[in-house]
Amino acid sequence: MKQLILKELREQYKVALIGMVVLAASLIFTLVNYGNCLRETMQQQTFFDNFHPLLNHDLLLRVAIFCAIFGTLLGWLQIRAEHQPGLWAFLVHRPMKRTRILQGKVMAGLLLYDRPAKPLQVTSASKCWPSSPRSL
Amino acid sequence: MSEPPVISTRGLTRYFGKRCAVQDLTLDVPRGCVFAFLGRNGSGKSTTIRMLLGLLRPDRGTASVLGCDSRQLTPELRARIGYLTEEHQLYGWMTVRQAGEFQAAFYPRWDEKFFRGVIGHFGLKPEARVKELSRGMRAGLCLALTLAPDPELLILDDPALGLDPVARRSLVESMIYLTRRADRTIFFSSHDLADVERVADHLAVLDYSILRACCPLETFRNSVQEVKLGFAGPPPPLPPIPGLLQAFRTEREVRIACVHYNAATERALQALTPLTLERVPLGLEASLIRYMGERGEKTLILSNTEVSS
Repeated sequence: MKQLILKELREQYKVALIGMVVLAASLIFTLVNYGNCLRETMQQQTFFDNFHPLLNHDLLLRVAIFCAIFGTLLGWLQIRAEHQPGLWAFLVHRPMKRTRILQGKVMAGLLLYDRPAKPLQVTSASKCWPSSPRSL
Repeated sequence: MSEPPVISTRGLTRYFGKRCAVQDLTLDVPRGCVFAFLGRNGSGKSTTIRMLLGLLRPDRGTASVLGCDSRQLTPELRARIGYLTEEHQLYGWMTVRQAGEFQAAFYPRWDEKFFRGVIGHFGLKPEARVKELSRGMRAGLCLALTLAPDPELLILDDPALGLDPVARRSLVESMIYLTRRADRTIFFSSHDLADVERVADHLAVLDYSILRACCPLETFRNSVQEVKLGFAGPPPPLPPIPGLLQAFRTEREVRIACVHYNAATERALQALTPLTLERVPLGLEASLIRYMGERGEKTLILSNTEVSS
């Protein structure tokens, strides 16, 4: 299973990297765009009541569409990589149940899908941290 | 009591749309033999192999491999079956070493020393990328990956396809020297009859999806015979000859290819009162071409520059 996951990660990491760069760029663009507004609202101490750039409707919509497209593309690429009959037979004919092979692919796919979302998670965490009581 | 066959099919049938790819295939592959599976392009060899490995579902009939229904091969059984695909396809980004490591992780009986030995035999460097290998080298790597798990049954789908004569010879020789073991069965499809003749001891012939022969190689070779009859003048019309495959007439000669040539066939030919009657020794290739070629009588009269059939 580990080898199967590693194979998938090695095959598709470039796509995940591209996805990560695109999403990070989109977030940076949003943050820069809203930078001035952000400073103003922070000065007024109403940051979480009035405005949060990462909760902006347009951004969320863009991220949602991007993630859907990216997930579909990633899944398609994972299938396409085994599309040749010989390669598919090479993968399937091994001492492993097909469900385990599928499981390996799905796990690798989720790991790869998780990569582009990293900037979003990091930014969200850094923005949400000040709002939690433990940050005081 | 005789051992049960390693591969057994009963009425195996598969359609692709309306086209019948394999029709009512019934054969048994005895344990420990080298079994050649022959036929023209599109005759259903690869389809049969895929059905044997459970990669394709038959529309009718059953197939069992190592005593288990091919549709329900367990991981343990798959570990005992080595399969070499037709196109020698592997992941191009892997190096030879990585391909070995990838495969080794799945097989409990993986023999690393053997794997290194085979890749060394084919002159493969462990750090070479698969996509940079020649077809012959890739075939060698595939063979190493198939053999290193020490399978009990080897299924090779046209292992020499697309290789130049030197690579093909090297692959086939390696295949035989490295794999031949009394308890190991090799089932392989091929178009190269010279290789088949050198290595196989049983054969099956598929023609237009139908099994036309399934027997030991020697039996097949002895069954198909060619006879040359010489006459003083134009040869007389031929009487009905049992098992006639082809007859080829020229000005003073008739060449007749028959299956199941026996005393009755010889008597029928002697009745034509030829000046000479000579058996022409046939190799496997010639026998198979006679057997699978267009049947009937052909005439070639050069003096009239006429060719008719």
